Amino acid sequence: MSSRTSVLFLLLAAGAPAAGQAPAPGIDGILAAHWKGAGIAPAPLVGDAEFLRRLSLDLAGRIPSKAELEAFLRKPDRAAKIDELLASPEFPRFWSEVWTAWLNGYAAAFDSNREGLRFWLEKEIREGAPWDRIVSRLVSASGVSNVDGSVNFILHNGVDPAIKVSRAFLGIRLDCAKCHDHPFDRWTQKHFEEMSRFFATIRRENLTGSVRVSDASDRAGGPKPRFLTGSQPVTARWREELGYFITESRPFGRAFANRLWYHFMGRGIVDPPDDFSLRNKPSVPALLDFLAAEAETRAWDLRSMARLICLSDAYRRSSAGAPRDPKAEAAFARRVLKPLLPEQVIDSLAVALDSDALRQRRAAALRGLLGRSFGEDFSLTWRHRETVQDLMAKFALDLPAPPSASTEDLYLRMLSRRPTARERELLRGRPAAEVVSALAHSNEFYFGH
Amino acid sequence: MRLTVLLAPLLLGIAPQEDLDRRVDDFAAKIAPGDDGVAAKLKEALKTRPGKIVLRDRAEKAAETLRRIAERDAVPDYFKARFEEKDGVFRLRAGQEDYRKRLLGEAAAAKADLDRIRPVVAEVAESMVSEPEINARLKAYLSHPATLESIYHKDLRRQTRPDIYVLLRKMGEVFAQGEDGRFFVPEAGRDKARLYAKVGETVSRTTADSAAWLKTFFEGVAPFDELHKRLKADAGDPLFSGILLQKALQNLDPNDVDSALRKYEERAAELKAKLPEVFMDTPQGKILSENAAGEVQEKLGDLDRARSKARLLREPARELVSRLRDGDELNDSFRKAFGSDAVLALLDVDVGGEDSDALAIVTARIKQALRKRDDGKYEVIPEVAEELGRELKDPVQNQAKEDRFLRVISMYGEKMDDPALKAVFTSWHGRHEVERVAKETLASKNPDGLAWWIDRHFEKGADGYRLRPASRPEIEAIVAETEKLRKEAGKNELKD
Repeated sequence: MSSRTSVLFLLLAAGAPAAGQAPAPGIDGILAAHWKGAGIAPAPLVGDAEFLRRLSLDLAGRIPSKAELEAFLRKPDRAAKIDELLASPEFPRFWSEVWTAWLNGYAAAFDSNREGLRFWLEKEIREGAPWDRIVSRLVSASGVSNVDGSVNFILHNGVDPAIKVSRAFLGIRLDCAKCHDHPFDRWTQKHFEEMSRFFATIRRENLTGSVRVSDASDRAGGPKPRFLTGSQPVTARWREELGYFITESRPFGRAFANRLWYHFMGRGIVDPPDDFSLRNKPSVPALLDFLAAEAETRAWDLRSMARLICLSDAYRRSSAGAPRDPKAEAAFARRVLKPLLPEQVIDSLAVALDSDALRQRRAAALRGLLGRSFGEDFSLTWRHRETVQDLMAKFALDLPAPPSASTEDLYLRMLSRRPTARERELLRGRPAAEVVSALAHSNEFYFGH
Repeated sequence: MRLTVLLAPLLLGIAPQEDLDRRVDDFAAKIAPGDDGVAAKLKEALKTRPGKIVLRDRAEKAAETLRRIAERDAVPDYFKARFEEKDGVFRLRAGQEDYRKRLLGEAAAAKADLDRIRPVVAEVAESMVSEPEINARLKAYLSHPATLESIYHKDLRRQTRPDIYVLLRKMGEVFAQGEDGRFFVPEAGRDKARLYAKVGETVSRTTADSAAWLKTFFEGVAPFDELHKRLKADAGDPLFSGILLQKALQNLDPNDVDSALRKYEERAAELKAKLPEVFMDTPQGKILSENAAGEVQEKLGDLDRARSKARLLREPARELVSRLRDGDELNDSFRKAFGSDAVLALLDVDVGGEDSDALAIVTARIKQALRKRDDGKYEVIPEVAEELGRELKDPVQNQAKEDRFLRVISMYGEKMDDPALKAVFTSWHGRHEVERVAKETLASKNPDGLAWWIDRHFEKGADGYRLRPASRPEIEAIVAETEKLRKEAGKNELKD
């Protein structure tokens, strides 16, 4: 990639920070210029409590505990809190779950070992592996499914892996091109066929209780595959070379930046995040270019990019107040509501109710989900909400005893805020278990906002 | 050919990519180019991603060559490991006496089974009609001298005398096999393994405890009739407790194992509390109430089947346990659990009972596929003809391929100085056994293509790896491919 010049230009145009300062103004400067040009008024910034709730959900996969909330309100050092969460074991654990759901969904397929993939991702993220290395390994993984976790991505997506790989790591949809030239985009059936050939060397063998994935170099004959940029392999290591081509390509950086932005903001700059196309342009092109360039400059470091985005004012825009405004949301002048992932719901309930029993039931509840036919990114759909409600219904039947009888205390634990006067009035005299149940079923609890 | 088909899944012991990456880095760091510009270029190239990819390609190709060699030598290696050759005669190596005993024992058991089955199959084959064509095909298949052995070793043996792989087929999601051939629980499988271990531990402990109580209780029961005598004899067997308690684990929800195990323990407590209620006191001791006798009889029938299953699984379980890696507390839990018949009987493995008899299985299968006509001839049941046709697509040709491979083993067999072993290795059984063991041995082999490639092109000296002069063209080719790959990656035909 060679986008350094354009980034410098963007930084200057948007009021670049002096050397040594945090780069966050880059994001905010670009957005400010965009809003000015489009006549959009940004929503106000959220307060410290809401920021902490948002941050904890995005980095640790759970709401903050009451003690964490109180400590942060006493000393609201945002940068320090971001670093603390990024260094915690919860960050790699939760992000591995997010990426696993994105890569393999919740359904089991082709004897792939979903937990094996998640475990591998957690290890990589914990050790600070850069995203380009993770992706290269996922694309070219070989080994045994219950030992070499990375192999479970390609195993799970065994039917037309070219489609999944393009979507996941380049944000490009080749689905239509499988059968015919894409009617509205540049992708032809030839593109699909040439990309698919990268996977023609895969050999999949059932072992006792697991599956071995490898490449047969003697299958690397016939027409060579061809990456979307025109690159062709030189050796018989086709998948490995594909991983190299992908991570060296321009779409890779843009898709990565967009995916991270989507995770934090609830909406991609290109949205849906896996649909970069001639008809689906970025809502704020300069922001996408900036983030993609930053990702490369920061050597594809997940923590560094997370820090960059979380320190921005853009991350703190409120979702409350005025009626929904798609134009403002697409320009990130107003926060989009994000349905929580099942993992976030369970962990948040466990934190709010201070319940080890719930934590112990977490793995079982998630395993219960694996038998269902959920594809990736189901948080984009209403199916997600149904799932969360289903999960919650299970939990609601058997919630632990409330940790407190005080409505005020329960609000702080579950919603990270105190009740309003009206809420106090409505809930006066209600048993604590009823308050907990009502809050656990509220939109405010199971949406990121 | 046959060996390739059988062994292919197990031959591919490819080192995980991450490990290979580290080794390539290590090798690159140790290249001592001196004044050699080509070696220096390789050292630089290996610092880049395309350079690493090109070298890994070379390593993988070398590994494939080594795999082919290992496959080719599988049979010679089997015999070399166990026998010494002198003047064209093979003699057992010292220390291989146990192996000989096991092999002869296996052969005797297989022969006994086959001697019972053979006449039944021969009678059917001889009496088969020839029309429609599927009948002729089945007749040809059943008449081939190797067919019965082949069916026995690939199918019936697993069911009637299961080996470790029968267990692993069910537990494979929990265990992985290391290159040393030993089994371990990989990190990603530990959650599930804990569940298995927890169930195993609870069942093993609870049944042992219940059995001790039942033994004491039944000491006070009168030897009223055969049923009572049998109950008194079997009460102390934890497997009997397992039968009485197993209902609590029916339809076990893997998402809620804890509550199932709680129920299991509650049922054990309930058993102690309620069992006395179905007995009445007499001057000579307790006897079962009439109403309960039928149910108890049924449970004893279940016990017979469970015993048969546990008996068959004991040996494979013992072997699995003996091959678990040390130093993992989860493995220790499995060791304890697999020592319990009550646990083995619970495993979802289809062996034991009537199905453990090879002749009974064969007879049942014949009934499923063939019917006897009024003239005493057998014909394929029309409803199964299509399915049978698919299974018997080209039985004679397939058998011929298998024969060729097995004949190679006979060539060794004929050179044995030990008449008993000679008989085994020239029999179908012995040859199938060699095939099976060779397969297992190859599974743990991991051809190291990188080491082989390095050794071929570099000399290891005190200062590091020095390029062999004859290998300069190979290294120049690698450097050129690295550069070509780098240029390929720079292409960008995408327009915004």
